[in-house]
Amino acid sequence: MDKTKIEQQAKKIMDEFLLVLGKIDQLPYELGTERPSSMRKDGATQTDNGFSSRMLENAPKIKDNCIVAEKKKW
Amino acid sequence: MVTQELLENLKTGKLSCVEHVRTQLALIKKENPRINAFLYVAEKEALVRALELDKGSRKGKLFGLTLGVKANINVQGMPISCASRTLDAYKGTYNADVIERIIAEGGIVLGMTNMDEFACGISGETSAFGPTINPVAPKRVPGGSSSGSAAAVAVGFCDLALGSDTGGSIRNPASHCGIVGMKPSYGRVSRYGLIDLSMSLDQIGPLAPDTFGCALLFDVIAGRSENDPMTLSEPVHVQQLPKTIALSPAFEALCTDKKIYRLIKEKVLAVAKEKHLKLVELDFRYVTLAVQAYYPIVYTEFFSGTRKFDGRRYGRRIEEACNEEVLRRILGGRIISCAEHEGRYYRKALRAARAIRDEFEKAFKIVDLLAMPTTPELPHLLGKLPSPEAAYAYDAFTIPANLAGICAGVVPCGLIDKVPVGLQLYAGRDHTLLGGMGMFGQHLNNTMP
Repeated sequence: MDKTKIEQQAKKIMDEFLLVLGKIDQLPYELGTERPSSMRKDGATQTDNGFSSRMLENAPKIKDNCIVAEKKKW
Repeated sequence: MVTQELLENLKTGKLSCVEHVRTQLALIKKENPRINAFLYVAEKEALVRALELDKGSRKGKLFGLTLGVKANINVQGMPISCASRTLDAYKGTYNADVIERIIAEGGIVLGMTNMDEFACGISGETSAFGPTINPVAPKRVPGGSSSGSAAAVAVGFCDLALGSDTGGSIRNPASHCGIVGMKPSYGRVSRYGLIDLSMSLDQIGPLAPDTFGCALLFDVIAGRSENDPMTLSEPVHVQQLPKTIALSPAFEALCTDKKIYRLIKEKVLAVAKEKHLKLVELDFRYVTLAVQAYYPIVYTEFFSGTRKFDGRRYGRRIEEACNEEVLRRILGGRIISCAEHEGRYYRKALRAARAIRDEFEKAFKIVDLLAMPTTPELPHLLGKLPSPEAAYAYDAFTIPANLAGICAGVVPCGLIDKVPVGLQLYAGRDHTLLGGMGMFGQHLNNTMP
């Protein structure tokens, strides 16, 4: 896949969409959805003691119960 | 067999859970190699569960009913691939909230269903593990991204299915496969355990052969969860029958295939007359901006959500393993969320989303339901993947509901050129939507083609 070409196409689409959205500059906006009445209750969820071992099974490389990853590889 | 009758037979013991599961597993074994609806079939687990249910005394709301689960919803021990090579070896480490609720009510998870890779698609063709075939119109796409779930229900592999809907990914395939599908209001169903496409728009929802099954599954999966603080505390009420329904010239103008709009309008007029619904015409000023508002939000949120797929803790680095459309959204999202573009794309899109939401809020003070097509065209032929721009435009009727955070559902409406067409309803409240879907379901003799 040609990453540069895909990136350019994505930017082109976004720029075209931006032109169409231009007409709504005067309207207010909000970031996200606020639910002030819905705070998470502390302690309401249960701890899953087996989760750690299940997650480690998915890791590409483990040693002594730790995930091993090459620095800066990602 | 319709869902209500099937459930009755299972609860009374006329049909054992084991027998029911065996029949469906046999059908999957025979037909899934062709249809490719399931990516993974949990044969042993399903039979063990069926046996437990047959021996037990408690009969939950979903007793013995089987389910397909879209491959982006976590089921412990099952492969949660999102139909991508990125996660092809990843096993679910916990159950999503919706899965816990299904199991608690006696539902049986049959396996993981196919989808467009990372839910980035509208056709069901872009899975890394092959396309899903539309069992009702085999030369046409089944729709996406919950393609496998829709096809599985349509062909009878499972009784019900779960999908996810960010811009139409439950409703689009429900329409193309001739079944019922629903996108709940944002916050109605916990997203805990869903691998997100766009966290401010995603909702998990039901797919079913009929409106009874859809309402039943919704009733089980909906509700407040401390694992997803965005979930609503208000209880889901019993179905309320709507009294008013609207059509809109704004949506008529967006429908490229006029045969679809004529079919939809004909059915709305017939049901309005039969059920004594007051018919209203409403216009919308900003709904034509929905596609242009949606994709900057999705690109940005998807880029953010995929940073965890770096190949360190699990899977592969997504940029090295994904398809072109997934990469397009990641790279596009990276560009437009850079500091130099702050305010230009994402915030402008949020403004448009807010305008659309306000319009629908006003509309649902006047009417109970809004009717429209599900897609502007019939599903395209398999293999004829449209350009990204054309694919994006395909979501014009489904996206507004996600941007507004409201609920929307699809019921089969009829056939055009032997291809199923779904009628889509929007509502301000989930129980009103379900009431409306039930009304249309009764009138339209809601059976699978």
